Amino acid sequence: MEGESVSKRFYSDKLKQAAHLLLFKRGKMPGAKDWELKTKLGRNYEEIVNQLNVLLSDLDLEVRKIAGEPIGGPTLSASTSRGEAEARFLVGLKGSLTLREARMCGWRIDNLSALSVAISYLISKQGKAPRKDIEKLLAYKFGRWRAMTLIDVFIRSGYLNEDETGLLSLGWRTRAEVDLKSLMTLVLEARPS
Amino acid sequence: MENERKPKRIHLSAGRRELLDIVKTCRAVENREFNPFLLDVRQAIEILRKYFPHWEDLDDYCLDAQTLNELSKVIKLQNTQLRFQSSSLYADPEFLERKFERLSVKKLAEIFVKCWHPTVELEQLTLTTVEEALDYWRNLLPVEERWRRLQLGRSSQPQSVEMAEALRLGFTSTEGFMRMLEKVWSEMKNEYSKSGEVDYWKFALRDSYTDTVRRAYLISFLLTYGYARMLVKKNGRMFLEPYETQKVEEDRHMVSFPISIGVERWKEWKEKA
Repeated sequence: MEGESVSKRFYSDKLKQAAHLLLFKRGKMPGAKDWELKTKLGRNYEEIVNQLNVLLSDLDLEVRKIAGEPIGGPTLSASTSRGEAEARFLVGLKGSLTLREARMCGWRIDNLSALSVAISYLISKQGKAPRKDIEKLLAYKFGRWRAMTLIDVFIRSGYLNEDETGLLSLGWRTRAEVDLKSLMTLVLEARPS
Repeated sequence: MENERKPKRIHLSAGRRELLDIVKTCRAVENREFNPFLLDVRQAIEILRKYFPHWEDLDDYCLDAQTLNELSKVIKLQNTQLRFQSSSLYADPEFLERKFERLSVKKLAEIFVKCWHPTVELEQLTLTTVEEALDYWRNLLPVEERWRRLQLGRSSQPQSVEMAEALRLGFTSTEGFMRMLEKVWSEMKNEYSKSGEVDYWKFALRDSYTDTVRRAYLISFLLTYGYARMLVKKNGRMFLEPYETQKVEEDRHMVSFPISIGVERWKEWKEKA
């Protein structure tokens, strides 16, 4: 009995520590790296993260593991191609927001719409496309100047990446936050109202 | 005997040209400018085979190897595309473009929100960030110092001058303003036709500071009136691209782009030039 209570207390402390590591932003990117959790929480960090995931699920939140996957939705059990050391754990919304809630979080409808266009177009181009193509596509709805600024915003926030040749690709945040398969399905199924 | 066909003569320069064309096309495919299946790989390999026995220089062999390497990248892209098309994420980009045109902004945002699960991230003050902020604040020069760096100097009250004095100082010219613009425009076009690009600073830079400022002033008018456009590269370099005729694009959004020309900076550029 005594051993069990010690183990429980141990987990309670570790859970708090894991929550702090995952929720509070320390560097440029949110969440914590695999090795950070291992160092701070010990070898059984995955168990602790799983336990935290169970606790957070009541609040419509979940712990996600993201790695350098080319395309596809992130899952907690996703295997990594770059190895465990490169994986990052994040806490995100399990469900989804309404448009109104998203606006209350500071997102403009224009921005969300442009992001939806940019991401789905990039997916249709196998994850990479010249910046000028996406600018042209966005300019049709938002104007040239706004299209340029929006792409810069998406790059800064991590939704898109740009290489030195001007090719855009999906950023880490898109891979962590967007369910790409449902996005494509919804876009293809959508009918103009 | 005369009717007997002579073997075709191989022109190595033509071969090099063909190989360079293949490399160029492969790179365009890699940069997603073309569909990878638009390149006929079999034909490209035939070209490589045709010229390979005739190469003599190391450079030619290197070009041959480079072409082969680029072709292998295109084949890899073809493979990726086939695999992607068989996946559930496949959608024709042109079809999507048409779809985006028809869907309203609100509808697109609604779609995105349904499959978006944003990350929770709490911003916080840490000891390191507070230290960094304090350092920044301590090292920040007073406003007067920073203004002094811009060499604005004290401004004097406006005064009136005679026409002759204004001409002497270069504030006005006997030459018509439009004629001056035309002159700079034709110079820009000549420069562009010669080298294919016009570096802003090289074009604006003159022997005297006054002439440089005047030229920059005229360039700004050419850009505003649609006689040319300016391209700003990622590294900050600015290039001018003259149009053949004046272009007035109504759907274009004009952007103000201030360029400061201080005497010190002008001296630096002059030394570099």
